[in-house]
Amino acid sequence: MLLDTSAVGLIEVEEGTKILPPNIIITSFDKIINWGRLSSIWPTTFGLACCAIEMMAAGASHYDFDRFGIIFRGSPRQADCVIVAGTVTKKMAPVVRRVYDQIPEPRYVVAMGSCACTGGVFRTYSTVQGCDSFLPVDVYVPGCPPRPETLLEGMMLLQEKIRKERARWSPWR
Amino acid sequence: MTVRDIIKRFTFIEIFQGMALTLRKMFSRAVTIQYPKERRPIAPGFRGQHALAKNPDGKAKCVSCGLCATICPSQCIYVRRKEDGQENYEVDVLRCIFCGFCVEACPYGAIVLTENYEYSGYTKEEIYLTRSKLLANWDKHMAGKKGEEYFRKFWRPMSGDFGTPPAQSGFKGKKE
Repeated sequence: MLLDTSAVGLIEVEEGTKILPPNIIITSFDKIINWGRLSSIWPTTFGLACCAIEMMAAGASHYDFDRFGIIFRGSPRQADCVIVAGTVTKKMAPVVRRVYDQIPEPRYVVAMGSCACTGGVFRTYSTVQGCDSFLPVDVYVPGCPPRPETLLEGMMLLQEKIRKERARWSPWR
Repeated sequence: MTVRDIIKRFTFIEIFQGMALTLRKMFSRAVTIQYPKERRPIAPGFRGQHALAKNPDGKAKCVSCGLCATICPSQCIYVRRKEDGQENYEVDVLRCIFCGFCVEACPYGAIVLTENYEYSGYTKEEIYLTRSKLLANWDKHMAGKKGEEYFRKFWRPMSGDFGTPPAQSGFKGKKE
């Protein structure tokens, strides 16, 4: 051990996080990196249909995404996550995929609404039956369209998912 | 350009009006709903997650006639029937568009749309509703008086349509 802590004693505040009085906090890389990631999810806006309206409502002051550090970015290169909000048509699917490909790692996908999750009411030749056919979806948010609260809950589920990640930061992951 | 416009342009009166609005909003109450702690009251008749209604004696009202599955515009209800009763009743919620046609079509008032809207998940299987989950939803969200009043309040009870109107001629039972 580099530091002799037997005299002062470490206080364990939660599992894996210790405080060396008065103000040194010891924790693992996993914890601090995951904490940083989950408290600043920047989704790129991908509004394709009416779900985008609810997504905007969730971002506006009544529901306020900014409380969770979720700030919408216009460019996928600055984003961590893509919220696929709306019907993905077969013509739009390559564009969604390209936006996803442009997001730097680590990246997450939230499928918002019935259409993005499974294709919804559009069992047609022109609609992709669920954006999970070409994207690795992390969280499914049901609803048609989902309430802003539901989207918030979905984002909180995504935060919980990030919190449980192990060694996503390392090159040997 | 009139004199009025010139005065407007040079005194920045519109900018000051805008700034006054901003300043006024600074002293008013914040409108943000702190979501996980407090919730916006749900409008009556909100159409959320599905549930299968139960009788007072705890049995499902559904007789698996399949009317809901037929009318469903996104064809997300799957009803399977056994010789004696119901085998399974599944709702692919991720396909549902919450139109409420199933509730409207049901002659027995067996399917309801509860006020639950928090059921996002990591997989599709989590959100998929089987019969047991649907029945559990009834206990969870519609138990007691809420479930009893649900149809009378928000839906025209279709079971009322099946009786013979008193004016219509027909068999009214034996006269004593």
